[in-house]
Amino acid sequence: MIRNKKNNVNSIFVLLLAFFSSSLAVTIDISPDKNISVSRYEIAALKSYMKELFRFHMSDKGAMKVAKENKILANEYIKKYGLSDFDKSKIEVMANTYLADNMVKRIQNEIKISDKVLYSYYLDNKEKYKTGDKIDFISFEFNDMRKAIDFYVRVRDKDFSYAQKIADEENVDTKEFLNQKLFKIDPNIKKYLDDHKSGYFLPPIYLKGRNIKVLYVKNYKQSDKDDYLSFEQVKDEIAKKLKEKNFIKVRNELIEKYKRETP
Amino acid sequence: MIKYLFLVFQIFFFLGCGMKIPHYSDVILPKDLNISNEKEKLLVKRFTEYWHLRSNGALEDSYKYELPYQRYLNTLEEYKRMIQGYRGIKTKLVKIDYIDENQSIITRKVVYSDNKEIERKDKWFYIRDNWYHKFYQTIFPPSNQEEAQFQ
Repeated sequence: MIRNKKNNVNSIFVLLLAFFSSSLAVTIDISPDKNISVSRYEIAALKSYMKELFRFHMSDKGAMKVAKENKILANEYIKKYGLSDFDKSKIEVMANTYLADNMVKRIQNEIKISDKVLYSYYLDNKEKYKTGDKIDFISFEFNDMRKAIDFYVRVRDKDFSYAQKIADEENVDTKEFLNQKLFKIDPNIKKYLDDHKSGYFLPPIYLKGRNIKVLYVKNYKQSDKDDYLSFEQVKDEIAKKLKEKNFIKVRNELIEKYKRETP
Repeated sequence: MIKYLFLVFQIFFFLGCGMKIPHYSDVILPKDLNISNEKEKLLVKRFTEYWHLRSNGALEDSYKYELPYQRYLNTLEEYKRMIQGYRGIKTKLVKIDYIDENQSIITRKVVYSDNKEIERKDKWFYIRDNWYHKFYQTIFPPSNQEEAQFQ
């Protein structure tokens, strides 16, 4: 049950999450607060949220500012429109999703994946860990995510010359990054790379301290040398990858287990 | 001295038994197969056992031969669903190639009930103590070049 307090005009919005173990539902208690304050937990939570969903790295100062602004606007929303049943349900759904996903992740993290499993993945995918492969990128630089997304949507199915034409017309800066070693490339870029392919665009990426980039993969240069990252160097990355692939399976197993345990 | 020799003989005899390549009518090895070392002998043994199991639908047992990470990602039930399309009744080992000391590609011929033979390849990986097979789904037509070669 959500208590809807519309009558505190100058109050601050505070979200309290209460979980009652005797029931399967998550109950959200939304009540205004008298003072605008942002805790360090809220700053950490907002930074984590932006990083996970948008690959966007916020500073502490930036997160505090945004968190405070969100509170002001949220409070005004309740004052002006109240919380509809749909609003309440949506907030509960988001909370349930967060808790459900984290339940799976924590269970996964409690179980260590054996070295044998990790090493078998490493051997089967060893080409991905070749150190000699290099990539040439052309970077289209933006300081506004919306403009970057708009640009990417327009060019992603087109060739480079079309993107260059748009960039020239709209004064978008471009930079060339040649011979970037594959194994040193930022993981946020690497996950979008298509094995050994050239001539395509990556979705907008924000790298901490730098502009938002829409990267064009100009050349993928495969190395002749057989140098690879060692298993020890990549085993954590492999464990993370396997857990991501295994997420739905573990989720389904947990649901079956808890359904059986619940009368 | 005689007792010592007898003991050594027993050890070699039983070791040989442990590493013996089984004979099955549905897995045919070339007569001129030249096995160079114990590791390769183990590979041929695992290959023979595996395709005997697959030809007879013993998927609970063939599952144990699959790559450890594939077993981590796919339950036995999922595995059975993914490879249920296999229809070979016999397997003929053609040749063994090595990508490196831990990765082997075995060329084989699959014999079907109408006696048609189709050439396919197997990937085997040596992980810590044994050779493991990489399986590919056989329900749908191959979706990429690798699947087409190894399905």
